[in-house]
Amino acid sequence: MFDEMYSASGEVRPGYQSVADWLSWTGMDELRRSSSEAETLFRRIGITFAVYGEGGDPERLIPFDVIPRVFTAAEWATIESGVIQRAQALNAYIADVYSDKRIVREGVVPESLVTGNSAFEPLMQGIKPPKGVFTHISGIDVVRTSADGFFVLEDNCRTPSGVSYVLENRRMMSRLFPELFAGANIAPVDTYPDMLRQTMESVAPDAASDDLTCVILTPGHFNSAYYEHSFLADEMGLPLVEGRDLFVENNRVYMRTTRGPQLVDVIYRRIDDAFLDQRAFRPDSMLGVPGLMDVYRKGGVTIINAPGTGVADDKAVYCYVEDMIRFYLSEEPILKNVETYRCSDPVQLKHVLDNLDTLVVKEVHGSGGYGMLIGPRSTEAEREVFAAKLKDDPAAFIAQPTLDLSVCPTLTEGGVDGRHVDFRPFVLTGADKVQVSPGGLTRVALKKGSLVVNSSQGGGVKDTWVMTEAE
Amino acid sequence: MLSRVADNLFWIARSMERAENVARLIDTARRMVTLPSISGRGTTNEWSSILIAAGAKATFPGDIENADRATTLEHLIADPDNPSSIYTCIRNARENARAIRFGLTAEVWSTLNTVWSEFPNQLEQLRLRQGYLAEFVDWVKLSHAQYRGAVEGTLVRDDSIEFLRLGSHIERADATARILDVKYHVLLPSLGEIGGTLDQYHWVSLLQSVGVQRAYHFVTKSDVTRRGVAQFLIQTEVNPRSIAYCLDRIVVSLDRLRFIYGSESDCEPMAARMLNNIRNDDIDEILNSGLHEYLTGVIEDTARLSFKIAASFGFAPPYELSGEAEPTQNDAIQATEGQSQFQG
Repeated sequence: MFDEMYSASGEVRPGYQSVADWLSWTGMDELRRSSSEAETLFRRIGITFAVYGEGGDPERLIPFDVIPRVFTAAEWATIESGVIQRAQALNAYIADVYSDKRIVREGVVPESLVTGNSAFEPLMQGIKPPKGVFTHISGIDVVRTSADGFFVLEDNCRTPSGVSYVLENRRMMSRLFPELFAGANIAPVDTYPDMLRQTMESVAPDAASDDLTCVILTPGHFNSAYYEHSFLADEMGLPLVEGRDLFVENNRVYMRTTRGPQLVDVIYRRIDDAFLDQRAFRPDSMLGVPGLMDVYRKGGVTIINAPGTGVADDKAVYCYVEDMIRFYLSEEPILKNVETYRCSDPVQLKHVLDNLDTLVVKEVHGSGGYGMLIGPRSTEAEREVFAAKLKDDPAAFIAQPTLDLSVCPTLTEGGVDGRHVDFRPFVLTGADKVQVSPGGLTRVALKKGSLVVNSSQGGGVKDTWVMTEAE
Repeated sequence: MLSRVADNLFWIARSMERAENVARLIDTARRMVTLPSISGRGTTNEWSSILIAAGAKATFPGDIENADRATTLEHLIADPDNPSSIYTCIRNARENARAIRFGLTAEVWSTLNTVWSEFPNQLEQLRLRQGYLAEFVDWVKLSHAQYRGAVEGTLVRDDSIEFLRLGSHIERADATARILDVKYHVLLPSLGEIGGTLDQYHWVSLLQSVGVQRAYHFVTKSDVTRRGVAQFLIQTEVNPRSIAYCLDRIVVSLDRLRFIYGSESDCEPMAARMLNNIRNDDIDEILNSGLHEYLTGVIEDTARLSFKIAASFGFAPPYELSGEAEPTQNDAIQATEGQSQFQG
């Protein structure tokens, strides 16, 4: 098990010296006091995510751990270049599958994974979005197993969330422990809203005038990520609209304002494809804008991310991303995939069935940490249930070795102790540049030994530091 | 500004104002029941009177004529099925605020959020002991004052504050008319009783519950009379709870919006006409031809104006804009106007 702060011989690793010093002179009481202060503040600001239908408080806080996670400048350079490369390949792939399908014709990716994919959107065929960008915001989940062992666990090309925590966690840390930041060379994360706004503006449709209007489209304040939607709108100074605020006329999109209709050029939507336009997709959607896809097809509006990007981010396509990088960019992948068995392949399926007790089995379209089997933690009975599911519909599953995820020092009931973490940086792809704000969301499994970091299952979050220079 | 945001602002203010006014109505009844009743006289029940005045005829579960203290308080304070209960008002204000979280300052939001989270505690106190009622009414008034303070002290002076102001003044005009009308429901006085001791007590407690008893004496320099109180609550513009004051503020807000937007809104002439009428109405004439009828007219007109304001700034649901959907007389009196709850 790789401890990110201490080496096996107990020495503090590069980057962590100031955190180690701080922990040594900050008492446990002080940490706990700050921790509960953070909770009070977060609740007051209202940074909650909604969980309905489970009883209890519908507005829950994601637990915040006060001990930061650190990347050195060198580690960050690897992650940054790796996720940028990945986002470029994913964009090239999506553009390809909705036009020439060159990657299929050349036999790199099987046709079934493209047109047979439930996330493949036939309406997108032949559409070239403004500036050719499909996934403007990509969340690339990265895990670590050793000093230089960084792997991509998952790609998120639909509407990856969590960036508001990146900014709020940093603000909370600097509020609670200002002394910790003095003299430390920590890259600021506050640049993200500006970068995002510039990205949005850079991909405006040709039809747009100089006086651009960009908006964020939310399903409304009953949505679990509503806080993030309103947070981003506020940080960027953009209107936060709902579907009913927008309407289509003369091949353009307008919003209803107290001064009458106002043109809208770029929409960062935080609602799923299926709900975007009740005329093009689900007719029962109450959240969408009838006619939006028509305007989009004719180049009257930019939708961020483009509809149909899910075709690139399920767990079966994941296996091919390294090949995509070689195919489109003629580069070697900087960040590797986790070794993955495709259960659709009979040989690999057999291997998976024979080794269920050591593997992690995931649904191809699953998310949120649900519907998976963690072999070493499972019971005989659970494995039997999964084996039956696997034989029943092998293509719906992939399997990976159980990763020995790194741990970071975390405040627990029993004191400071190591807990498993993962990491989601946010890659922004605009008209002429691809960039990552230095940092991202570190999720931590608060239960001892647990590998599930999802907030819906008892995961917490940490501030993530990127050091600007080597110590 | 998005029309929906204007709608949210309008209803945050209306809901908070309504919470306070329902509390004031309750306070009116609380004061009136302590007054001596005339034995053998058909004094009506104060509790059912305030239920009627609060527009709860349609929502009150049970026989409204025989409403007692407990059921009335439950319905007006805690009933989630009553769209005008204090619980519902505070919840709506907070939900509307949450929907436009960043259109408000942190202080406005956190005030509303805190009021909402304190409510269960207050309710528990109230259920524990009857004597807590006056305290509870004070808490509601104080909460509203705190919210207003946060708005006045921190909100940017752009169009958003005008939609809040429009909401509170529409609601208060409506509420003042309703509170004044309680007197009609409490006691249908035979001619001989007008000006009698009990009659006068009633007028005094009415002034007290709207919190302007001292102001009344200070401004009118006279005793409490029916004519005096009616005029003070309808026409006296230095009284911040008078209907004329509310209309004047509405006209000022619309004027300000015209300045900000650079064009007149459709509802301006209507507001100006209502203000002009109320200023020129003759109080003796009003009393002779029937105060209750007059107040009913004010409540209807206010509902129409509210509707017109919403339509002018695009936040009335478009499918309700047809003529027949305008509030009818019965709608306006029996039920208070409520916000359409569109939840997508």
